[in-house]
Amino acid sequence: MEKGTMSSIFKKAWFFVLALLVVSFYGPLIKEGGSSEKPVIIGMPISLYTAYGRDHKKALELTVDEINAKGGVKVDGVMRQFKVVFTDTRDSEPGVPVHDAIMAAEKLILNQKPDFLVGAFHRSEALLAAMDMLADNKMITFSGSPQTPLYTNRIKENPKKYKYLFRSAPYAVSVGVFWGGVLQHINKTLGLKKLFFIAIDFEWAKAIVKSFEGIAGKAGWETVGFDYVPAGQADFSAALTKARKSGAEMILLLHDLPEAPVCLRQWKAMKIPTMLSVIWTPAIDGPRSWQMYGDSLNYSIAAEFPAGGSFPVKNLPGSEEWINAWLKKYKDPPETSASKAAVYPAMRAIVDAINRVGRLDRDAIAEAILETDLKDISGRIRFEKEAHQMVISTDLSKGMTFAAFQWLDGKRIVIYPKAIADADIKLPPWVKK
Amino acid sequence: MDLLIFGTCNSILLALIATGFSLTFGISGVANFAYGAIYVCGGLFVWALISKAGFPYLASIVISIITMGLFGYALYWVFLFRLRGLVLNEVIATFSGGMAILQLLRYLGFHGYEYALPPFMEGSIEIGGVGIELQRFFMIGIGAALVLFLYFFTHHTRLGLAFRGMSQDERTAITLGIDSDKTAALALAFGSSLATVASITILPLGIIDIDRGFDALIFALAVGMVGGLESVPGVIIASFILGFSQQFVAVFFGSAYTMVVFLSAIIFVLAVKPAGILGKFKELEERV
Repeated sequence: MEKGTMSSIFKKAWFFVLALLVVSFYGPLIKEGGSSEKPVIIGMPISLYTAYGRDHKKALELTVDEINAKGGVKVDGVMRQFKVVFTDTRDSEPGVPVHDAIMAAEKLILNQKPDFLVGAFHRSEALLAAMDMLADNKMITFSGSPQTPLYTNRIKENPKKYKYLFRSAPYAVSVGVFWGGVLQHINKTLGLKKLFFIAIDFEWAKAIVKSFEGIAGKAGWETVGFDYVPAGQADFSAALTKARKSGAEMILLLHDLPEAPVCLRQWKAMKIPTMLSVIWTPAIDGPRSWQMYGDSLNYSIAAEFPAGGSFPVKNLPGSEEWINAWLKKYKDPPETSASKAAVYPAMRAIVDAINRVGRLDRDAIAEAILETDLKDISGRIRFEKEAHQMVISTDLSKGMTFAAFQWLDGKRIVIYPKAIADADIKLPPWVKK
Repeated sequence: MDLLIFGTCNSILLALIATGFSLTFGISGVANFAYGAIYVCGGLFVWALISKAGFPYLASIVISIITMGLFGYALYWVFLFRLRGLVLNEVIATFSGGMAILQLLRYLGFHGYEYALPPFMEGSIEIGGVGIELQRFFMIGIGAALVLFLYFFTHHTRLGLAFRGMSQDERTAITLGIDSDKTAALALAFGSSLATVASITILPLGIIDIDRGFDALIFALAVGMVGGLESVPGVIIASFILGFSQQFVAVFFGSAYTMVVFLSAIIFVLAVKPAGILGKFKELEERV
């Protein structure tokens, strides 16, 4: 090849490389400048590689897509879109120290500079330990799965310091109150009154069993025994044998690990003459559970939050919209029954508060969130003024409601609260009343 | 009767989990701490073949057992061949490898409630008035068949006799023409296949979960320590002692105390007979 031709090729190549560099440096800036305004950033620090983590992430993306499709939110008179950023706190993984989860969240706050945090953390320990860091950063935060009442108690004790912290999901106390109602309903409908607890050998489950004993007593039940099963155990025969010997008429299973369905299989195989209800057991109350465990779930009772979050409730018109939108975007149904919990009410409260305040002033928005009063398909979105806790109630005119349902031949039949119930509870054929 | 039936089931479950680990250690001297990861991978591989590739269940099981066996074989030649005899290095290599595999599976999203193997057959039967799932019943059959197979294999096949020779005295076995490295690699392969047999039999009772890999390793170690890490008959005896003890404790004291059975048994055996019930490796030291 001639020298002149070579030189021409090199010149062209240099020009190409230079153009590429210019585009890669300035391209994103041009794009950013091209969009109307800087987006409002929603951060989610959560244990991402879990069923709850994945569902919360998808729920946030879905909700934000819907809000953005409607134009976003008006800040300082200009419509702005939402942008979501995530970090993996790993706080649900075994052996991960709490400070790792907090560091991940703090890194997200410092690097990505979110305006709000939604669905924050998986474990109560991480959320409690992060409270001061979140308050120091004036970060408006809606917690995710953590169940501890200590979170809201601390907010109540020091409302000035924790004015930016909220919870838009149920927690141990509201779960207990709701299940108290379910038990009372079962007691009145079927006349059952002897209760046996099978719970995973974790502190949260023990605490709920302890509080449930009192709640069940008030609902007309007598606790006849309990058994705590270690994590990883795939044999519940001893616990079920004890339940049978105790004369129990209802077993309440508190177990959030994947082996929980074994209990139902053995309950059926051993023909234990009791009803069986499950609390916080995603492997059983999730939308995909029947597909996986089929007939062994028949007649068991579970609950979801909010009602209509993972399947359409006949008596809640419009509740099919969420799950239909989910299926359209993701094809597969959510993994847990809590896909809508925490994230969706939080985003509605955020949008409403920004619209009322009209600017991204964190103090003003935190105060506006406390004044939230929105009608929703599953009830009403409001917050307790002192505890910053979203109001949970079976009265749809007061707060957001759970739905207790019974698995019957692959369908989830809502049995409680009465306002949205499809049918009465049915006793399994092997249980004699 | 409940105690007898479920005690037997529990014992077979422990024996299934621990046999592969013990066999590998007995023959090659390698404590394969990646055993829990192999256990989970075997189950997940069957799940993937059935639900993603549309393979029939039986074919998926066979393919998975063979593939995990090949994985174990490769594990020896790629990672352990150069470390053989350096006990601490072997432990570090296999443990970190196992952890890396489990964390990779978690990162890839194999952690949730949707990864489950279907039972071989749905339904339940009654034995002596006690209802039991068919899968658990099959588990007893598979466990018994495995013991018979291992006996036949180690007493009547060339490879099995080589395995026994290696486990009794490696140097003498070498002088008789047995290739030490090749036999050790085959032991890793065999142990990995047995881990897969265990996972395919046990996991349909619940869900395939990454954390079950840690449990499988802990169970295998605990049973091995009580029975004698290198002794398959010792491991089977220990499985029955621990399995029935756990069931007894669960029924009469509470399920939460079942883990205490392992701990107590390990402490007792270490104090009285550190080699384990039928273990030989530390017998000389014990006499000294």
